[in-house]
Formats: sequence, structure tokens, C-alpha cells
Amino acid sequence: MPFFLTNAVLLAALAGLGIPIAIHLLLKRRQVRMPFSTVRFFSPQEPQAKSRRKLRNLLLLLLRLLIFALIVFAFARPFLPSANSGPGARRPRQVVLVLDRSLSLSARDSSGLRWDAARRRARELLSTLTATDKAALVSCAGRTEVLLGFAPPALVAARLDELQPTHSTSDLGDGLREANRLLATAEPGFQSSIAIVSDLQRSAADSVSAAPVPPGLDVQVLQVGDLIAPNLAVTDLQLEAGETNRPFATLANLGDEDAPAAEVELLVDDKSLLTRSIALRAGASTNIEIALPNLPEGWHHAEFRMNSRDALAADNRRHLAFIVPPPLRVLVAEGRRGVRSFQEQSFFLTAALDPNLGNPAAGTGRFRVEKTDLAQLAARLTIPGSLPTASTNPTQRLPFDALFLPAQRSLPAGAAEAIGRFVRTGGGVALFLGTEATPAGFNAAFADLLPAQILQTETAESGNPWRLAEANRTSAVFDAFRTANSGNLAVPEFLARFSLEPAPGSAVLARFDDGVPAVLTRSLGAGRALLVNTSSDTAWSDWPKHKTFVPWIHGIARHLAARTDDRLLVSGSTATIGSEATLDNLGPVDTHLTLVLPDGRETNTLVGPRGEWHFEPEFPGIHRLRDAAGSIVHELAAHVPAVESDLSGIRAADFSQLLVRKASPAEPSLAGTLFGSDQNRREYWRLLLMGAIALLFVETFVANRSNT
Amino acid sequence: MNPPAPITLDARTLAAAEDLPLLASIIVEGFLDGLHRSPFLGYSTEFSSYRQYAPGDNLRHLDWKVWARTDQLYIRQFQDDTNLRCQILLDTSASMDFGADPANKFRYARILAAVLAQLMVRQRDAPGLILFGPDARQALPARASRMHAMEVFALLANAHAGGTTQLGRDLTGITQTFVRRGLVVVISDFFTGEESTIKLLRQLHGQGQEVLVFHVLAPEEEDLPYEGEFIMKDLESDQEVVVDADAFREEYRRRVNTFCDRIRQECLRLEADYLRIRTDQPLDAALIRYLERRAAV
Repeated sequence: MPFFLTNAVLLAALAGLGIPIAIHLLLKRRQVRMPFSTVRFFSPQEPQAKSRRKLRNLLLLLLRLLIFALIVFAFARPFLPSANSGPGARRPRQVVLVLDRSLSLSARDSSGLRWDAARRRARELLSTLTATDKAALVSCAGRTEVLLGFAPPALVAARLDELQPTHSTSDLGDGLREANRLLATAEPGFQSSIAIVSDLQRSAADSVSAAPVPPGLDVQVLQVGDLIAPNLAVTDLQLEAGETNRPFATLANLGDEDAPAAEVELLVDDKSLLTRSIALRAGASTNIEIALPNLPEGWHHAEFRMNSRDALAADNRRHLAFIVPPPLRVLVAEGRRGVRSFQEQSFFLTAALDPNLGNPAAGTGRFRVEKTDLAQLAARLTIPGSLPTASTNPTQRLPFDALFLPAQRSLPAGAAEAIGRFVRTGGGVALFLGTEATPAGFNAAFADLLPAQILQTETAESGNPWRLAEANRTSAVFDAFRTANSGNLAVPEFLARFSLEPAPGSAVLARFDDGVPAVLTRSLGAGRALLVNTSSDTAWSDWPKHKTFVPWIHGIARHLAARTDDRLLVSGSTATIGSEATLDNLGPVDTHLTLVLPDGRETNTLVGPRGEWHFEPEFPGIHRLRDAAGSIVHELAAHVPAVESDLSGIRAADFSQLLVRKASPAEPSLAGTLFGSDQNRREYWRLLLMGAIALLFVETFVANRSNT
Repeated sequence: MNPPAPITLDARTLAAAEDLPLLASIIVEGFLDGLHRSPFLGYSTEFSSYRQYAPGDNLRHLDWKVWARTDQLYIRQFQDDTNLRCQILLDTSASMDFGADPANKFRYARILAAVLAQLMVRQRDAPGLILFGPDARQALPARASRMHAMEVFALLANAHAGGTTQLGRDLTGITQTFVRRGLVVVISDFFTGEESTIKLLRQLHGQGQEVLVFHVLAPEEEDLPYEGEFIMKDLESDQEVVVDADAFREEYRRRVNTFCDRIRQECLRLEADYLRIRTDQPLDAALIRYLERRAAV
């Protein structure tokens, strides 16, 4: 095979070979005849030694000529074309196929499914390879991975048939890095190239410039799909109502054309709750407010979907799991019998806690209120069944979370003791005073329960009622009034009250304007007792007529039940496909759970050492975690990445401009060091220079031997 | 063969001197002036004692000062100042005519011989000179007169180097004429051969002669300071040998040293004094060695 020279002109320097020859001839030793006193000390020179010396000199000359010639040839940069790089010859190829399997490849363009087009382009590329060529397959979807190392093209094509696009994003920069790594460790002697099959979404090309490819490496970009495709998407679904917003779903038109009206529908627990027709202009997005009905306590799942004939169907629906917490169970005791409901002491309390007055059709609110007369009070407060055991949380077994007890002249036998047990077990009781309360009776009945000793009745001067001057807004009782304009507690007027002697360990939550405690609380056992220094009706105060009364009563109920969260609905966890989600507080370590996937398949999983659980969803929809008993522990809604909804791509030429060509310093091969990184030819100038250096050492050695 | 070059020694003041006796005298005077504190000065004739004058005594030895003081005639007696017979054997072979000026071996050897003769005359010794070579077998017997010294100088001035040295055969007959014990100074490069040299020394030793050997070598003979390849032509035998001076230098030095060491060892064995002199060195060392040897006789 002939050698080629990059700088053949430099061979003219070979004329310089005459220089060492001339030097050799000029410096050739000539024998000089010299008279000497005696030659007895000299040895006649042997002809062999003389010929050896001549031979050595000749060898030195040859070495010097060779060194010079090697250097000249090295500068001429000879190279040998690869065996298959010449005209008519072909070198085996090795192609790394970087295949985009992101969600956008599921889109349907004017020419059909992008995924079909991608596989077709990949197959076309593989069909150009021969049996001696090799191909590797790198998948870019969520986690970039090498699906198949260098293998015969037919094997790669077969593997290609098994693949489908995923619901995650792709990073073509990661794909290029994996391809570079494969090529760096590949066999030498192949003509290497990278082929990228992708719709070239902008988000997928973000990190391409951070993955440099070797200079000279052929990178083929096989683009599929339209550059711009019409697409509507449900980009958000929020069902928790906040202070300023209502539940909503967000729709967006990510195309460049106005979208025709599309039907949207909200399903909760697979029941349609809302249908509407929405038309969105190009690039617009909108929120659709949702009104949820009262739902029973427990886990629910919602799906907001849109029937649109756009390019990508996977982002036309969005799921959300949520839980409706159980209502607070409140028992209200009523001592007046035979009066109209609005004349009852508990009328305002019951109305505040349950505005629907127990109408089951209205659904459950935050509170489930039951009323009882005093005769049944003790029985209602008793824990059903046997006494609580150590293995059972007695608080969870209490029939109610809180008891509201208006002022009573007297209590039936055993009622006070039942209330005491109820509180110590974990319940809460709110005691109201009033005209029917007597200090002696109250102090005697609730001796160790009362936050304060009741002393005597006080009446406000005419025209000068007491008002609340201070309230502890950090407590749950007055938490509703923490923000500005949430209600003026100084408006209600108080005409009568008791003078009180706060008990040790009690806390005053509110005071009248003269400093007398208005609301006090104390802890007792596992529960709490709260004393309100006014009546529960309008006898001593007009507070029930003011708007601050209802949130205050709600606050009392939450305080007694020790519940801080008053949300009607709590969203479950959400996760984006392709990203890892972590759930906490799922139970003790190694708790066995069952994960139910959206398609109904079940897998077993374990809780981590800190009660956490890691999960990377692959499919959109609701994922349920069940414990061994079959109860739902948690529900998680997985949705497709929002960036995949933007189907606009960049041109292949623009993508190629993003590629950074840079020699990778890592893992240089011996062949690359000796013959260069160009796969198409083997450069020999390095070898020639190395040879010249080696001969220089030999020349030095031989020359030194000649002088000894 | 080239005529002898003008006699010059290392001293630049002597460079133009043509008169060998004068040159020798200057050197000796300068040398002795430099040694005025040395014990060598006591080797001249010395006063020993007085005795009564007897008729027939030489009036030159009468001490007139003592006669004037004591009115007695006394004769000053001196130590025996019997002249030391000192034979100088100078090699005049062609190999001696080697070395670039002013370090030519033969010139150096002639001056050394002349200086020694001058020094001997000053010390009332009797110098003799024998030039040994193929065609220059000239000899002057040892005598103590100044006229004889002039003859020695004349012979030295006219001496030429050339031919081969017949060290063993020529000298044997001459040295057999040394009937009185004395000092024999041999000045040569001894390139004739160790065996003949050793034979001569052995003969002199057997005759009871004190022998002082000056082994004269030119710097070129010791160092071989040449570079390149030469055809060395032997000055005595005309034999030619191709020599790569660079390659052979170390071996040459080793051989020369071996040769000189053998001569020296043999001298030591025969109780002869040996001094190896380079012609680029002053004569002082040679003269001191002579005086040391003279004192031992």
C-alpha cells in the first residue's frame, strides 16, 4: 500500500543528506608522518582494527544520514490511508445510535407518529451497515442508558422493534456523553460515527454544548417530526382551596395556532363532576375554577381531561389524589328541654359548628355535631366496648373529640366524673358560664378540671359593658384572627361574668378590658379543658351575633381536639415521570407495602430506614400504596413532564451548530498516540521522530566507542 | 641529521648563549648562589690542622700570620682533597635528538653534562666525558684541570646526535677502563632497551662505581599529546608504525611508565641513583641530586 505525504515539498530537504557526507569526508583522518624518538612503545596497528574503525565510521555516517532522513520524512508527515478509506475500499463502520425516547416522540404530526418516523430513520441507517459493521444503541429517556453495546446491526434493529417512547424527558447531551464513552473504549480500525434520532425538542438539546465530541467524528442528526405542532395540555390541577384561590385546573395551548373548542371534564372517583368547552388562542393558558362537592372522608382521586385532537394526547389529562380528613366529632350538651331550638343554650354553638343542622344531604363539613341531653351525657362519653388496652390508642377510640357544655345548674350523677375521664383520656371539654352556673356547684363538680376557681358573679355597669382587650392569637382558639382584617374581637359586649381565680398550670387565652380572664385553658391527662367566662347564648354577651363567633367556636373545637389542620381536603403527593419522588413518614423501617400502579399491576416495596420511600414513576396516573391490611397508606399522582408538552423543535442544522468539537483528554489509546486520532489514516511522523531519537542514542553510543 | 641547535635552557637569559662553558658557568654560579646556605658548600677543600714546617714543604701552605706572631713556621694541613673522578656518559643516539625547542632532549642533555662538568671543576673533581653512539664514540678521561674542563665543553659543543645507540657493546670497553672508583653519571633516554641498559648498570656496579642515572624524556614522549592518526617514524631505526594517537594515548602512557619504572627498579637494585627528568623542567633537581650523590661518595 503506498504511503502518502502531507508535505511532500519538504522532501527537498533530503538534499541536506550531502552535509553529513561532506562533513564525514572533510573530517576523515589523514595519516601524518611524524619522526618520533622510538616506536618501541607503539603496537603496529592491526588491519582488522583499521577495517573495524572504517566500518564504525561508515556506520556512524549511515546513522547520521538515517537520522537526517527520518527527520525530513517526519516533517513531510507520511500517512497510510486506512485499508478501507481509499477509493473503492470501505472501512468497517461503528455507529452509536442515540435514540430519543422522550414523551414528545409519542406525538402525532401531519406525517404520522413521530415514534414510527424515528424507528424508520433508525432502521434506514442500520440498513446501510453491512455485516462487518457494528452499531450500539443509547436510549435517551429519563435516565440515559446504553441499551445495547456494539453489536451486529441486525441485533440492534431487533432491539429497536421492542422499544416504545416513554413518558419522561430526554437529554441528548447525556446521550452524546454515553456515545463518546462507548467510542472511546471501542475497537480501533473502525470508522466511527454517532447518529442522533430525535425530534430535537429545545429542552432536550439544552446540554448538548456541554458534551463535546471529538474533532473529526461524524455526527449525523436524523430529525423526525414537525418543527411546530399544535398541542393543548392540562398543565396543572389544584384541588386544595386556599385563602385566596379556589381549586383550579390549568390549560395551555403550546402550539402556534388558535385551538378549536375542546371539551374538558373533571372526574372525581371516576364520576364526572364538571364538563365545559374551552377554546384557547395560540400560546394562551387559562385556569378553570372547580367547585368540589362535600366528599366523604378518605382518599379520592381526580382526573382532569381534555378531549382534543392535538399532537400529543398524553398531556391532555392530569391526575391528582387527595384525602378528605375525617370531621371533628363534637358533642354538644343541652340542659334545657322542651324549648324551641333557638331558645336552647347550645343553639349558637350547634349552629356555628354545623350550619346545615345535621342535614345529611349537605355532606360532611369540618365538624360532625351531635347533641345530647344531660341524662345521656355520661353514656355518650364512655368509650364503647372494653377498657382501652395498652396496644390501642384510647384517644382514637373516644366517641368524640370535643364536648361543648353550656352552663348548667346541676349535672346528673356520674356526668362530671365521665367528663373528667373523657378529658384525661384525650378528649376536650369547653365549659361555658352563665346565669345557671353557680360557683359552688361548678367548683364542686369540676374541681380538678377547671382552669380557674369561680368566685362570684359580676355585672357590668349600665352602658359600659366589658370587651375583650387581649387574646392569644397564637393559640388555635384565636388562630383565625391572626391575620389583619380577620375580625375585631373588641366588638362583642359582655354584660356579666364571674370573677375568677386561675388555677395553677392554666393559661389565660383572652382577657377583658379590665384584665379579668375571659378564656382560660389547662391540660389534664391527655386532654384539655377550656373555660369561657361568659354564656354560650346571648344572655351575658352579644358575641354569638357577631361574625367572629363562628371562627372562634371552630378554633375552640380544634383546640380541644388538638388538631391544627383545618383543611377540608389535603392533596396527595405528586411526582413527575422521570424524576424521583420521596414520601416520608410511611411507617417503621422495612414495612411491607404494596404499590398499585395506574394500570392495576401490583408490586411489593419496603419502607426505608427513616420511614421514607423512594419512587420513580414511569406512567401517569394514580399510584396507591397499601399496607398489609389492604388499607391505603398514601396515594401519589404521577404526571408527564410539562416541558414535553412544548413540541417545538430546532432544525438539525441549528442542532449541529450546538455541537462542541473538542478532543477528549481522557483515555488516549496507544494507537491514537502513535498514529493520531484520525480514523481515516494512520500518521507515521511520530514513529519516525521516535526512530530518529532512538538512532540518535545509538549514534552517540557508537561515536563514543570510536573515541575510546 | 640537523646540527645541534644553540644551547638554551629554560632560562630566557641563556637563550642566546653560544658559549657552552660560559653557559655552564652561569648556571652553576646561579645554582650555587641559590644554595649559599646549603650544606653542599662544605664539600670543597677544608682546613684540617697545623704541623711544624719541614724542609721541602710547599711554601704556599706556610701560615705567615702564625710565623709573625709566634716566630714559628707552621704548615697548614688540609683534608685530603683527592679529586673525585666523575665520568659523564652522554647518549648521542638519534632518539636523543627529539623534542620541540627549547625542550630538545639532546640539547638538554648536553647542557646538563656541561653544567655537571662545571660544577665538578668548581669542586676540584675530575670530570670525564664519554659520548656513546654508533659513530660518535668519543671520550675524555677524567681530569681535574681547568683546561680539561674546556676540552669537555668543546667536545659537548661539537657533539651531534644520530644513529643507533650501542649501549651494551660500545660502552663495555670504555667502562672497563674505569680503574678507580668514582662517580658515573649516565644521561640517556635508554630507548636502546632495558636489557642493555641494565647490563651497563650492572657492569658499573660491579666495578664499584657510584652511578647516577638521569633518564631524560621529552614531554611529547611522556604525554603523546597528538590528535589523530600518524605514521610514527623511529629516529634510530627508521621503522614506521601507524598510530591512532587518540585511541592509543592511554596505553602509550602506561607502557612508557612501565618502561621507566623498570629502569628505576633496576637502578635501585644496583644501588644506582635514578632521576627521571622532563626536558621542560629546570636543571635544579638534577644538580641537587648530583650533589647529594657526590656527598655520599
